[in-house]
Amino acid sequence: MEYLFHTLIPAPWLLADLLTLLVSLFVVVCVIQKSKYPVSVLLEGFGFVFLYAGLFENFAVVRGWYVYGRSLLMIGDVPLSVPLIEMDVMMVGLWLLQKMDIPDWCKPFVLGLCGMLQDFSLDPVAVRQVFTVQGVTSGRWTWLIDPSSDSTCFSRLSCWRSFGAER
Amino acid sequence: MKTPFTWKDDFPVFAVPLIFHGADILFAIAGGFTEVLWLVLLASVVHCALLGLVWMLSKSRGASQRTQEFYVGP
Repeated sequence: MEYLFHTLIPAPWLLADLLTLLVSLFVVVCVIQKSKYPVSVLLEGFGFVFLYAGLFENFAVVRGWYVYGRSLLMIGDVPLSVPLIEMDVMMVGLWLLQKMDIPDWCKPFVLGLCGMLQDFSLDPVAVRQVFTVQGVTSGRWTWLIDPSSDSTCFSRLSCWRSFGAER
Repeated sequence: MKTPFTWKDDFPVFAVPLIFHGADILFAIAGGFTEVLWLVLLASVVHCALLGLVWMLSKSRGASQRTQEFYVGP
């Protein structure tokens, strides 16, 4: 709580987080009202947020790939709103697919496409939301990987290829 | 479609992506991030078009099902 009152959070970050919390609450209420198996679906959502998305986002931060700005509610080093948005997109995507008459093998790809389209509109804005608060400049989502360094996937792939060619 | 979408039962499926895309567009405009606005708009339009297509297919499927239900004849 001390942290909450000593660190100012930029207004756009706060608004975005509040909107995400409200939308997530709305999704949870809709699941309770309209799903045949609300307990199972909510458990799935809880597991997705805290045991899957929250973990892999923290893993990426610990690995030093990117960092998030501080927010009102955090899971480790990741704002709660990040896995919550992913959960919302997943839940409404599964809801959509449940009613569509398409082959089962297509469904992960359609869900992935929905997630990717959501990311394509959210991520560029998050990367640009850089603010200076109390003399400290931080971004809502800052990538730390240097594209020209050896740590990127493409550089590593080219290293492996050249290693394979040497053998 | 297995069952047609109805706004009353399924509005979260369409409302949640619309709310998030709308918020992204507003934040991009309010923040002056014009260099990424095209990408935000493009992703939003494509996503909304896909959802609109699903909605229209569902409506046409629902209409054809209703026609079959009420058709009595040889």
